[in-house]
Amino acid sequence: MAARRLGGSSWQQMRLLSRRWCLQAGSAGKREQNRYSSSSTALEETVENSEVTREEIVLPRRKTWDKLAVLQALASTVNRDPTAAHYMFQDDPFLMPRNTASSRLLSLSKESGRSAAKYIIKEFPQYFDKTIAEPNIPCLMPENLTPQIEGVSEAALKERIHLRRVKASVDLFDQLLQAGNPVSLETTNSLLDLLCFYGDGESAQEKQHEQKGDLEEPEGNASEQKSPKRQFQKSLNSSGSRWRENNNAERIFKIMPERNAHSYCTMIRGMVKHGAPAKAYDMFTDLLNERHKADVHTFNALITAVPYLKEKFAERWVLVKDFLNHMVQQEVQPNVLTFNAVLKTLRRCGGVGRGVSLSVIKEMNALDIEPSLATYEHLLYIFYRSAELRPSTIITEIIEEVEKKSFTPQDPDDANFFATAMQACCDLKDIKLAYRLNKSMEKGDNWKFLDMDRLNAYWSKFFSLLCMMEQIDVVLKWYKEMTPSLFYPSPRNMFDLLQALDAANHLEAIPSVWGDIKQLGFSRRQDLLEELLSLMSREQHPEETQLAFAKCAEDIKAAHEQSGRDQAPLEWTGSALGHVVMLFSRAGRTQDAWNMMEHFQKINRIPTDQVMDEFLNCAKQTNCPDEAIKLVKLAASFGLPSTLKLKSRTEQEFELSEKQKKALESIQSDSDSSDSDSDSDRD
Amino acid sequence: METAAPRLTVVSAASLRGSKIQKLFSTSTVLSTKEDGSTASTDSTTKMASKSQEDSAETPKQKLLNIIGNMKVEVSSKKKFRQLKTHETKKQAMNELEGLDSKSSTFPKATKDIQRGKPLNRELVEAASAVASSLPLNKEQTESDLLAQLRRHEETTDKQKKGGTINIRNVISDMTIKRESPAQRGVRISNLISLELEEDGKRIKPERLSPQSSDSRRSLKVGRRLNIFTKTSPDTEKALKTESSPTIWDVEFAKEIAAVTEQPPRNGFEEMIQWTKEGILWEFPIDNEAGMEDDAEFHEHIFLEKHLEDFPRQGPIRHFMELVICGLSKNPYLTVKQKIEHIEWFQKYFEEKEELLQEI
Repeated sequence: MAARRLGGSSWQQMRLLSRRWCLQAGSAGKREQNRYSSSSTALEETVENSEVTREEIVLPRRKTWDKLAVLQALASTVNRDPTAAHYMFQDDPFLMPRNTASSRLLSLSKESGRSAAKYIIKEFPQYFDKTIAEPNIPCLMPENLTPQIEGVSEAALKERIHLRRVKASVDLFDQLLQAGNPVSLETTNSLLDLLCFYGDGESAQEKQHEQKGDLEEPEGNASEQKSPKRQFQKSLNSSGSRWRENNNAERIFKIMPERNAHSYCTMIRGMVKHGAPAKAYDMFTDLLNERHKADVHTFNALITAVPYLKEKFAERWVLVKDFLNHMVQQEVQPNVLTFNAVLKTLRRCGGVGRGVSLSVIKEMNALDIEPSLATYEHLLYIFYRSAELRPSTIITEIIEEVEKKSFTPQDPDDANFFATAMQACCDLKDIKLAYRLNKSMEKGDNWKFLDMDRLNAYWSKFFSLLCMMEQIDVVLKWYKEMTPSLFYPSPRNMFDLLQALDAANHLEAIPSVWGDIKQLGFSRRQDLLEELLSLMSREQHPEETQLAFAKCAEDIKAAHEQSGRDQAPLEWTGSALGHVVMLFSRAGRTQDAWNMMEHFQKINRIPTDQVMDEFLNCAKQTNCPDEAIKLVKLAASFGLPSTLKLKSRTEQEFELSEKQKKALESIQSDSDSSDSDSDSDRD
Repeated sequence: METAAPRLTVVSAASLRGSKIQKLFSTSTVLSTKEDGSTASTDSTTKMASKSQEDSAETPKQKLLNIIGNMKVEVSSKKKFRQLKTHETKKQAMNELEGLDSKSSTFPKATKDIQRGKPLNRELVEAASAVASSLPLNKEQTESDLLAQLRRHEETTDKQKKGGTINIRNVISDMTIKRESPAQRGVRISNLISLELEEDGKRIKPERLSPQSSDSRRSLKVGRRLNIFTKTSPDTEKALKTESSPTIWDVEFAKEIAAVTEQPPRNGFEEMIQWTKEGILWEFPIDNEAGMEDDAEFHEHIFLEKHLEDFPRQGPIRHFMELVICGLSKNPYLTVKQKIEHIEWFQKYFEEKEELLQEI
């Protein structure tokens, strides 16, 4: 301690020193604390000398910095680079994803690589016996998962339960019973917890094996907390971990000499979690008969199971109310999850849900329970998912509420809010609301509620809405800002963008959009290509634009011709071919245009008159009588009624050599012989 | 107002045929009349009309007040009612009969209406009973249905004449249904109906007519609550919360919640934050104390003279001990406690050997 060591020798000096200390540490600390609020100052006792205490100088014994403060400060200085992909993808330019699918694939492979490494470490801990790091880094070392306590005892059972060895625990429990050693209620309950949580059957270890092939999690996050989440999702979804008749949990529950409320509760929760709602309800009845009290989590679980218990909407609501009334009787205070569960059930109650949900919210308000994002999400779903959308004020009110605060997660469903809200905004075509929503999403840590998939859904909805409602300049600004750093546009988004360009008469931007479409890997999407070509060829544009369009057309042609590794080459459609010919013709690329013309014969399609006229114009401008004659030949071979017109145009507008004239004449006779009726009709 | 009358009839007739449940019908009539009343009337009853439009906010209390207020109007309007041209209403009534014929649902309120009994035109009643007897259905039921229907239209007409009085009968009958239907039908149906009436019926139907009023009703703040729970004081909540150690459920749920906001890092620093949290990275600010588990500070490790107070001030022992603490202060592998123990060991040793030493 600095003050004490200085002793009484030089008081003046010490006081000066301590004052300075205090000032510096105080001001700096306070500033940092305000920003990060996680750093803590360890204040020790004041220096006990009377002279000093009179001035009340508090000398901090030691300033403990939050270990993250420096990093957080640094991280806050980094902004998003709109031109770069997400940080997660930045290690190898070759692997840089170009669209949603590839970004998803990449993050999944990263994650699975990490879990593979973890698996090796867990599976073969004997090869990782050297502690290289000093100090040791425990999270990089294999966990010790082998039970330490040998023999048959309750302590050993407890340890196995703690290590989540489902099978070993059950075996040990049976051995204990056979040996005539009673197991305490508490331990049995925790064994039941374990069995009910994992739905029995599979051991935790086996589950981890399965996870390796599990690609459900879209996030490239290696933290250990992920794996339990996956287990949870998996067990909810898969039918593999269904609750089986007379499984170990039920068996142990039956042979328990005494059961308390906890035993019943954990059984109910396990049954609900693993898809046996009817059994859970029976168990609840048993619990009531035994005059036990259920806890709030059990009620929450039961309420979420209601849609599986009753068919009719009204019956469902009656049952929910029934559960809530039981809660009141048993003096169980509801929490936000209770009401979220009620609303989640009301989502599946149609009109009844719409009617009652608002009084549920009011009940929450009356009880001073802060709604979580999931609460609002359920409301939005209830009111805006139905076929007919009503411009009601509920979404406005919800966004007002959300704007007011930054949220912390309280419910696993919280994550859905922003995507659902944006979907609703999009359905209502309310751009102002969408802007407000976006603002509140960017506020504080709210962005964290959007994982990769939801982020894509959110932004893609937002972008579609922008294309629909905004000026083209604004749309393009957002577009530049958002791709590819925030999301990868879907084909639908690109379609919307094209239509926005069309609506704003801003077609000269198409070549750059086409570049992006290629980049995104959508160059084989027939619908997009058709739209693109028809927009480009619809009108005559200035020279420069036409040249750029022709380049796009060439790209599109290339896209049709090249066949990927295992993809069949894209089929030409008649209209697409016609558009391409027109684009080439307008750009004066006669030869290219003719090459495309020949494709018509290959795919047995007939070019429209407009296409042939454009081609002839082009041939005339570039002075290529040969191509004109070829065109007439082509038309004649199709037996088109316009052959004669084309022929006469060729005769009049081109300076033909004798040979060419002869060739033209011969076409006449050809078509005459093949198509005499139609010609005679015309004459 | 004269032009408004047929339109109203059409609306109600259409809704009668269309609606499955009679209650919906009555609600929609109420609202449509309300609308008419508020838009057209300029005379003394305007107040009444606007008042009953506020009715859409509908706390039960307000509803009651409205009804009482409207009652008075009804009494004064009786005179006018008598002056009604009966054949006109008859025509309307006959129109309605077609709609009724196809309907087989019961009208529990109709009988009620008759008991409450405002005298209807006798001719009309007769005509209605004649129609009823000609029908294969329950005669009494049909008759009362018809009469109820007639009454509604007479009132409508009456109101039109008066210039926008509110059809209070409908408000009342609406209420009686809510009260009565549970008794008459099973619990299941009653819930269905009352729910639809309370919330949906009013929303779906009137929304097309007057979206404004329904919008103002649907709000996050105003309106009824469930009234199931009562608020408890924070003390009891705390008492409830202090429970046993967290179970596997709690642990896993906490993890699940944490996973909701766990997103991949957006930049290098965030990645370092994540690593720090996992314990992979050195903690910032980096100092010499990383990995030291005891809570001692550096000076306790280095300045060990204070532990030498019990040793002689000078002499070879002192000299020896100073060398010992010098060595200890440079040793990074021992904890402070071990260092002190080391010194204490020497202290004990020298105390034991004191006699021996003095001999020398």
